[in-house]
Amino acid sequence: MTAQKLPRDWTSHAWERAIGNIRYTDDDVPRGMTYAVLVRATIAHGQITSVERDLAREVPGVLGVFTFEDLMTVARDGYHGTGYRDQPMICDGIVRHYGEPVIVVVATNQRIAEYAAGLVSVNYAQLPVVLGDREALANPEALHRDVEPSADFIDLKGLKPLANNPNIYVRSILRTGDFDEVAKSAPHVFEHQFSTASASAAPLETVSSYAVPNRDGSVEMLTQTQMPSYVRVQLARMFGMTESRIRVRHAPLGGGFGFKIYARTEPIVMACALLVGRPVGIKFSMEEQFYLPHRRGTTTTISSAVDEDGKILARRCFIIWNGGAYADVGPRMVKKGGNVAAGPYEIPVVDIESVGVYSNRIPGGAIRGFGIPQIVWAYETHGDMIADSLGIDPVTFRRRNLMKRNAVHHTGTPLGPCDPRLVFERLIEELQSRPLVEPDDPELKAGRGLAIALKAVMGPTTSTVKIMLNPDGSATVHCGTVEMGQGSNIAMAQMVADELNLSLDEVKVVSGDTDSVPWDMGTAGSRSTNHMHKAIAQAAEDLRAQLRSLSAAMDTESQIGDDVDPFKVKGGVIEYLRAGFGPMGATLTGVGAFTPDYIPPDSNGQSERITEFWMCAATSVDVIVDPLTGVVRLDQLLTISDVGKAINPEIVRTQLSGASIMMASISLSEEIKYDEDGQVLNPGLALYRIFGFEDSPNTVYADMVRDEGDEVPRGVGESGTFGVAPAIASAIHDAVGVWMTDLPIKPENVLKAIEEATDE
Amino acid sequence: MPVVDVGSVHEAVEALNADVDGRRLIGGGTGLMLMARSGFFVPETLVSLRRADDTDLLDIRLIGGVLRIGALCTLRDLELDPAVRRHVPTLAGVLHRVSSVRTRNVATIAGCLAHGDPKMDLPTYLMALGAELVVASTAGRRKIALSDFFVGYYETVLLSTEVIVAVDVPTIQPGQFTEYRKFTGTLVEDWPLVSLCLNLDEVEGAIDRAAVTVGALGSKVKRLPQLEAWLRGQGKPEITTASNLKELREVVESEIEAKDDNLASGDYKRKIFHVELVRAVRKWAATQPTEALR
Ligand SMILES: Cc1cc2nc3c(=O)[nH]c(=O)nc-3n(C[C@H](O)[C@H](O)[C@H](O)COP(=O)(O)OP(=O)(O)OC[C@H]3O[C@@H](n4cnc5c(N)ncnc54)[C@H](O)[C@@H]3O)c2cc1C
Repeated sequence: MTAQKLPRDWTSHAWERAIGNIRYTDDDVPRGMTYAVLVRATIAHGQITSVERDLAREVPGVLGVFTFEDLMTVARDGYHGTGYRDQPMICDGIVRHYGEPVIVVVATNQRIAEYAAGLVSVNYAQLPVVLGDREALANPEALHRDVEPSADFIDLKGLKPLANNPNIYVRSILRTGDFDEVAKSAPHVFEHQFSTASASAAPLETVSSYAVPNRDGSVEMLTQTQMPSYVRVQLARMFGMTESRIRVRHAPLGGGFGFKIYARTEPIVMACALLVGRPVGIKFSMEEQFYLPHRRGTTTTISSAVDEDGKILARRCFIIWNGGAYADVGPRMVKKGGNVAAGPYEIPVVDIESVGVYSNRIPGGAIRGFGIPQIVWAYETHGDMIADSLGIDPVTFRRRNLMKRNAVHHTGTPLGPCDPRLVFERLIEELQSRPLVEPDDPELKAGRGLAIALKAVMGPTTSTVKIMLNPDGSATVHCGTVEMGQGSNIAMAQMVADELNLSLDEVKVVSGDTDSVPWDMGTAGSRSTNHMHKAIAQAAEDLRAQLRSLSAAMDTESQIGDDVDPFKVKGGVIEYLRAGFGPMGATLTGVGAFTPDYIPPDSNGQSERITEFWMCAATSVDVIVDPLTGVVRLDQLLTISDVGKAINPEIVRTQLSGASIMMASISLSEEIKYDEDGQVLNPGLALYRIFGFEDSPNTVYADMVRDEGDEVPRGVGESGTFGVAPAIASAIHDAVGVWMTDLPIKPENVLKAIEEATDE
Repeated sequence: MPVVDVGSVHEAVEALNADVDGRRLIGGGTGLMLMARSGFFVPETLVSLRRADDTDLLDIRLIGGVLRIGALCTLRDLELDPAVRRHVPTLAGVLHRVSSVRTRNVATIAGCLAHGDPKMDLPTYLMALGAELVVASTAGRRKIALSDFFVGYYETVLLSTEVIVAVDVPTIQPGQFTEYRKFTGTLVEDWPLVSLCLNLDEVEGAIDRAAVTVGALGSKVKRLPQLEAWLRGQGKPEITTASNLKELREVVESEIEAKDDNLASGDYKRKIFHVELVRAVRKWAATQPTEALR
């Protein structure tokens, strides 16, 4: 058991965070920093007609008041984006969402910059604002013209907007048969529609980044990012520099959740630093942070043809992802979400269309779960509604339909060791010993619901690792995984300690600096532990081979062959190093890289290898509903997940339960609100309501299962989010007999549904 | 924003009367800072009594049937004060749900009332109890009943040159029933979406005097005379008969108005008011007359 090797309780690391002992990015701001403040658009769509900035320029301490054109004087390409290069560093003349940065003011300190920013005035010629999912789909006016695919990712190859509707920037199809054909002769056909609202990850450590230009023309970037390697690539491309001349550093993050991915504020501070020739930083307030990408809202129409016993014969889904002004991670999310939109069920015929559309909302990004919670919300609630109509209980309904061990997914990719039934049965077993509460107040009603879901890992991307074996046999690991409270540094150290037969004290993990740490795509999409595990195994193998050849210099007795693991030979490593390099030994460096195999899907979405692995999680929720007010409170929240091998079981449990609580908040409370002009009504935590301690369930529990003999760690960070929303909806139905179909589930809507049901 | 520390109420009044624009009293600053940060209202200079010598400003004293609370007492002081717990026993429970301990540690009773925000808890509660403000100005001191104090959103009858020095809260007498209901909706801890307070005097199982207030629904916290009139004379447990509750509903429908906002529709808020009112009434109906008298 790896966990037992921990030298100190892993919670010491959590404790350091809790008491604020961790040094975050803003604790070590480089000297001589000047500050950039953004002037933001006060409209959601329109052309900039004029900018008046003389007053701002005259303020003492102001170093520059820049437009997009100004920034372009130091950039080679002013656009970035992971699917399309559609995102300008700041507004390129056309405002596409409310709060879009239009001007950057740089001054010797933040206050001066803020003051001067208030003196800039921008005039606009307004254009029509499109916000709703269906309106965006039907919008005849293209929000972008001639967007260029980024070609960064193999699974996004050939991306292009639809010719007849360029607001649809991606359309993904998964089809295994003709739904209508099956539906024609099916005993029952059900169709429902579900929606989800935009939400923000709102990490407590608000986004900041600092660019320091060096005299030799190179640049150091200190930034909060989940993707340091990718940020460097983008900056190098945008500013026409070699990657060797850009150093990206980061501290542990105070929350990431998919919010701090890809290029965000880095290009802006880089351009400003090059323009003013001094260090330039940006530090967002919590309010400003709400203009960075959101979890995107969706509208899903889902239909199922079902036999008398509730066996699903065919399923059709149409999903609109409201991507806001820039595509960001949209193309990938739309594809990946579409792929699993029929759920972990054995369904002979599936027909899924998933589309991403531009609108004048804040750009859609990713939050923990990468679109999967939106999808699960639809198919699990739909499933429960079907079961309810047919008079089948939700457990039986799932037992009849769940994919079996070793099944092949609708995409054509086998599930591998991921077994939905194992997960589901473990949840049911857990529930047996946990009866539903009886509320002390007879007016209140309790109910229980459950849900199960499947997700593929992030698209095919590479992790590399460098292990330096020190002369005394200890190891220093250079690994690009970003520590953000999820405990990755400990997990990486544990995996290396396991391979190299060391204690945890003998392993040090170095991260946070692209000058010394090799490429890693990023800490996102539940990919890191799995991919690094494989890269680390390879690096260890590399070291073993080197040690074996060093042993060749020793007497025959001490030499080791391929059948011997040098790390298992007592005192061996030091001896081999000395044999090779003399009495002081020297450093050996082992490297490893891992990129999953990938086969692009055909035109029906079929591929034998669309993902490196699958993740499965089941959730159950107990709620207490006040039928007179519609208020829903959570009593119990359980998560069971198949995570493969848990490197550090305690951290896995807290990742699962943390994710589930976060999702409970999104399910019941969080919503970015827009007025009809596209203005965001609730930026900041005073207005955007996130769960507090009192809102968390009375009982939170998480546990793991795995297939016997499965020794490979899979994803952990997102699984806890998948089924929370539909489990809540199902529990509400159990309590008060109404189905909720829009997220978040607001008390007012619950009450309305109850009243409508009583009227009938 | 510079802060001018004054040594006494007298100096505060003088400072506010000085011919300088944009001066504003500050208590704990929790309300003012929220406004300043959003750019809604940014005072030029703050006048603070935190260094003042007048000990009354921090005192809590029983004078006859009234608890006189110094203007600078923090909400946390009140929550923990033994005299408050004894004489106004329901106050601690109300305060416990106002914001967080961190905010209560600095927010003052005067700031809490002078802020004039209808979405706050204490005004609704204290108005039902019949609280009065003691206010100082160059003209001397005057008393303002809380029920006459609020004018509209962030607007009160207080002049910009006046200083609240104390709040008089009548103690709760035997036979009196007070119930404050705070409805937050989605989150347990939040500002009230709907709030109300019932303060009843009971004589021989019937309501002799009723004060009912509503918060959060309109532009100001206010009393509800129609409801008060209806409640007077109602006995227990008959008040909860179906026909009585139907009447009660009609009164609510005629007296309560609420507008739609970002958080909920006006219609929903009115329904909630009704539900919470009935809950409060039922609670009274369930109390034993003797129990209330103890
Ligand atoms: C995060 C947060 C959550 C909150 N949640 C709640 C909640 O759930 N329920 C609730 O009821 N409230 C809530 N509040 C509001 C809080 O109760 C008020 O901000 C607080 O009571 C104001 O008191 P203060 O002393 O800080 O006032 P200040 O901000 O100092 O002043 C407020 C106003 O009163 C005036 N003023 C201050 N002292 C005097 C005086 N002696 N004489 C005349 N005028 C004076 C000031 O000029 C200003 O206009 C919350 C506040 C915050 C920051």
